[in-house]
Amino acid sequence: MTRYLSGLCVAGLGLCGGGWLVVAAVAFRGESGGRAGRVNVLTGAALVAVCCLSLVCWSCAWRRRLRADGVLADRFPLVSRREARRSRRARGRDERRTARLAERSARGARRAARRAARLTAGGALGEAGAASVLGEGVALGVAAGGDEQYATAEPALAVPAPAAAPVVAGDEGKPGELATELISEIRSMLEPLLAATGGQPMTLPPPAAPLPRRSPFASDLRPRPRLTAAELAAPRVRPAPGPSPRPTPRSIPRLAPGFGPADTTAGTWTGASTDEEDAWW
Amino acid sequence: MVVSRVGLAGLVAVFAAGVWLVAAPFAVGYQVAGAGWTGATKTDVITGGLLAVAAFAGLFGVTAGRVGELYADARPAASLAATADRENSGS
Repeated sequence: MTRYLSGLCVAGLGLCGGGWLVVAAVAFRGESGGRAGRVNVLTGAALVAVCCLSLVCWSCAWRRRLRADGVLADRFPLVSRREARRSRRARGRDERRTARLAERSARGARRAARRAARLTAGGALGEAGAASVLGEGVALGVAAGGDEQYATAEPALAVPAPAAAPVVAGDEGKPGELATELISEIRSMLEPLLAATGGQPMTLPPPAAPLPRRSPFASDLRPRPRLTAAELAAPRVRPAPGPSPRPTPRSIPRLAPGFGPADTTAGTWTGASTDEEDAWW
Repeated sequence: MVVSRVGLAGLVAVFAAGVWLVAAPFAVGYQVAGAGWTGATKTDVITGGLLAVAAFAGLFGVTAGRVGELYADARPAASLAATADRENSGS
């Protein structure tokens, strides 16, 4: 807004200055002389013209800006009043028609719901009646009122069931027969498998022994040689401490009796358990 | 846009006219150098000076207004960008 106001003020001031120059040249003709009067008149006229143009331009720019900001209304509305009135009437007519249709469909839906409730309250639904009201897939799963197994004091409830589901209870056969038939079919399918396995139950291989881990308790898991009672009773002699001339090679411990040398199968462990082994573990 | 430019050109023309009015008595020669100023010279110099100062102030005001509008237009965009950045960094 500042720029428009500045332009308008300066244009107005220039207009006043140009007018003053013209008036002064005319009013003080005798005093200002020939050349000065001509310069003043010409300058004043040009100033007035330029300032008038500037004034118009700044006012137009400000109006356009105000219109863009929504402060001023559009000068020429896009739709004439008559057309606006006509479209308003048409819109009202459409709204009334839509409301009437919605009311009619709601009335129909209420009537259908009332009829369905009356049918439900009237007694058990027959298959045909259920199919007509609730649909085919629903009617297949409905037990007839005459069935002993499903007959109750209350009216039968409609249970939704898929159309392809086998009917266990129905008028066609007894449920026991169908179950027996199913079991025999399953047996006939499983018979080749039983014959292939020789009638033996499948056994799973024993789980692999876990690998020993280095821990404070790992030496407890290490297999020990089976010592005799005399060896156990005899005190264990440790070698005298001192620098050994030749380092003793470290032996690799055995993990399990099954993986030991051939003579361990006799029940005795021939490999000597040394301190180095304990240290290794 | 064109209208604003024409208005701006009018302001520049007013400034030029003011400068011309100040210089006209000496340029055209109806004011003798060293002599006292005549009435026409006083009128032209005072009017021209006022017009020049007013036109300069008008130009300054128009430029300042335009810059202010640019800032006002850029502020919502900057706040939107800052909000988007905050949301992106938060998520």
